[in-house]
Amino acid sequence: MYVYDEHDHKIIQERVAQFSRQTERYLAGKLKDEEFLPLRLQNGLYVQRLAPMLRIAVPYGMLNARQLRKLAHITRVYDKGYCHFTTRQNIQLNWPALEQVPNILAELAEVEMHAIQTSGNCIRNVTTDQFAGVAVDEIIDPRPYCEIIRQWSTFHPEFAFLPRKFKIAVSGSVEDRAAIHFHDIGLQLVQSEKGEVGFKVLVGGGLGRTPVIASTVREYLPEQDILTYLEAILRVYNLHGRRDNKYKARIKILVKSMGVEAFSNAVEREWEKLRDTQMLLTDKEINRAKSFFTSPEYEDIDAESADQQLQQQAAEDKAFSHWLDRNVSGHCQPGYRAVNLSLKPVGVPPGDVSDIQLEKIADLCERFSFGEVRSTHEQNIVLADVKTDQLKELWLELRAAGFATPNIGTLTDMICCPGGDYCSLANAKSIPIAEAIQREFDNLDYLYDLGNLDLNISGCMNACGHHHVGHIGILGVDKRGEEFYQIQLGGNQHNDARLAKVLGPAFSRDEVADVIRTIVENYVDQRIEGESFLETYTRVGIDSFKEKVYATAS
Amino acid sequence: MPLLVKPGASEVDNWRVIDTGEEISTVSDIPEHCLLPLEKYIELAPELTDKHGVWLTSDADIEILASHLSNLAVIACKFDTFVDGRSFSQARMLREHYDFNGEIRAIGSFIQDQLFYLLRCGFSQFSVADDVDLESMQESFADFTETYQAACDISQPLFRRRA
Ligand code: SF4
Repeated sequence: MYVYDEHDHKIIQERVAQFSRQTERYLAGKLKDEEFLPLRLQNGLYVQRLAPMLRIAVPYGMLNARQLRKLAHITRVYDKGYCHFTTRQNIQLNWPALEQVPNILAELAEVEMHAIQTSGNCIRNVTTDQFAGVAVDEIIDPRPYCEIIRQWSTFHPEFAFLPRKFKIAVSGSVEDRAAIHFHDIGLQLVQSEKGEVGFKVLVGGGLGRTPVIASTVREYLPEQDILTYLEAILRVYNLHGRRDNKYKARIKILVKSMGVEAFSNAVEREWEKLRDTQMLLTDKEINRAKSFFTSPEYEDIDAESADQQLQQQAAEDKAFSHWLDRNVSGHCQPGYRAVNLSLKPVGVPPGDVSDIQLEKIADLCERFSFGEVRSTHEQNIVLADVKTDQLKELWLELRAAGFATPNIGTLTDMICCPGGDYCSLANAKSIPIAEAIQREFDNLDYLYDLGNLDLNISGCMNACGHHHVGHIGILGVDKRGEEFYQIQLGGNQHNDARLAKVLGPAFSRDEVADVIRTIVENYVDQRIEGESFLETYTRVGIDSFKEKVYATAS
Repeated sequence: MPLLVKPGASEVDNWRVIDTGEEISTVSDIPEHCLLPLEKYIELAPELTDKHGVWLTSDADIEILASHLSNLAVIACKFDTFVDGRSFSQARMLREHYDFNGEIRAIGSFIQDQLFYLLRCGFSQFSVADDVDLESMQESFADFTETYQAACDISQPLFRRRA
């Protein structure tokens, strides 16, 4: 994991001091509301329905035990004893007091954390694959590049007042787990035949009101050129992106209106002027960044006998075996596995964690996984380096702590935004919907039989819950002042990226769980041996689902 | 009188900004220390001296100015609203693509909390109302003493300077 040097420390400390002065000026009436607004946003501070909300950056999802303990302390002292993991691998506090935010930032700075650029019209926290560095299908570890991009984008003087927010995701594996097709810039690491490393550059993807799948603007960009190329893209966007209508201000609209080719040409022209500047990356810097993400000291393990033992343990205990199937992933190092901690037990808002649980995760990652964890954009936690022969022991601990719900990747492992319970933009609540569905589908055998099923819920069309890319998406809408829910089907956030289609008229809150039941039953009825939900959907089409749902509903 | 502020110094701003709507037909109508709108400036450029400057709207294409830069001592970028960040790019391109060495002045509704970034992007002077808190403004110029990126204030990014 990256470790700050004196320069990094200095920069975030100076930020804390700057924001303290700004908050003082604001509270003294010397800074107008509308002037303070973007300043506080770029420090992660929103004013929400009930209280301010502070979004803390978790750069590309990496956290260590010390940071987890600090977060536990912060939720206890400055908030109500819990926090929320977001769909961009970040953490939100729901109840901090505005005057105390500078203190929170100072506490975070002690453990090399911050809330820089977690909101506002600037370059946001860069995200990646939660299995970076350990994935079986990894081509190149994306984290060194994420760190390089993090530093470049932090307080970038030219791009702090963009037309709109700007999100970058990096994937280094064969399967895309970072949703690069749905980011303003998506970067896919690739290796040339000669072994040189570079990026495929996608631009203009996004969800929100106008969901768009990103376009490729460059098939291959050498790694050294990444920062100059990003500057060129951002400059074209900064100068030409629309500023007259915030719903048309994202880069996806600019790419559409210019056309991909004209857009790429504009970027290339700008890049010609930038490519040989001092921002050209050096091998030294790439190697420096890589030096922070080397493999931990793995033990030499007799993987075969460890696997045998595991199989035996699984055979003896069905619950353990379910958990292994669902919550444990493969690992590039023999004798190790990556373990998902589910933050989606029934009755807890998806992604919410208490202070005590944060401390428990800190203890567990020290005991079982080299003292580090990752947050995922599905709002779970990963212990990336667990020894196979310790899985059973870990499972018992996780079960006691409430993290062993064996539902990763299933219907009840939902992505869900905070919705109307917290968010002032919401049309409808999303957390009660998640809970109703969890209660409806509480039979684990049935869930496993359904296999991988992404269900995503957003409380409004801003789409923080990524409803467009769920196999099943649920969107909160407002119908004459009442909360309704539109159902969408067939989205996919991975390699074969697709946007979901609207099923038909929206439903009231009480109806949603039943409707989901009908949809799922139609899949079970229609599927041909071994077909996933998405495959069946693709084959039979939306009408088959429409008929069933609206026949029962009417 | 408004003030013209830069790091460590301030003076009375005795420059006048000529509005786009103002009638000017000949150069003799224009006193010294005037900033002209871009179209007007281009039109009258052959007769103007470096005692005249130009001001740009945030959507101006600076390429149009390229052939006039050697004759210009002051280019002002006008902020209609401080959240319009285009002028940051305009200033950087003037400095870095066109090697413009004169003054780049911020006018209009930028805010104090942008000063550090504006400096980094090549702005050198800031026109502000005379009731500003100059001391606090000077503090904002120095919000940070270290930065990651190369920009107009520092030619090497931190990664090239790290030991
Ligand atoms: S999708 Fe809408 S309701 Fe949900 S968090 Fe985003 S803005 Fe709020």
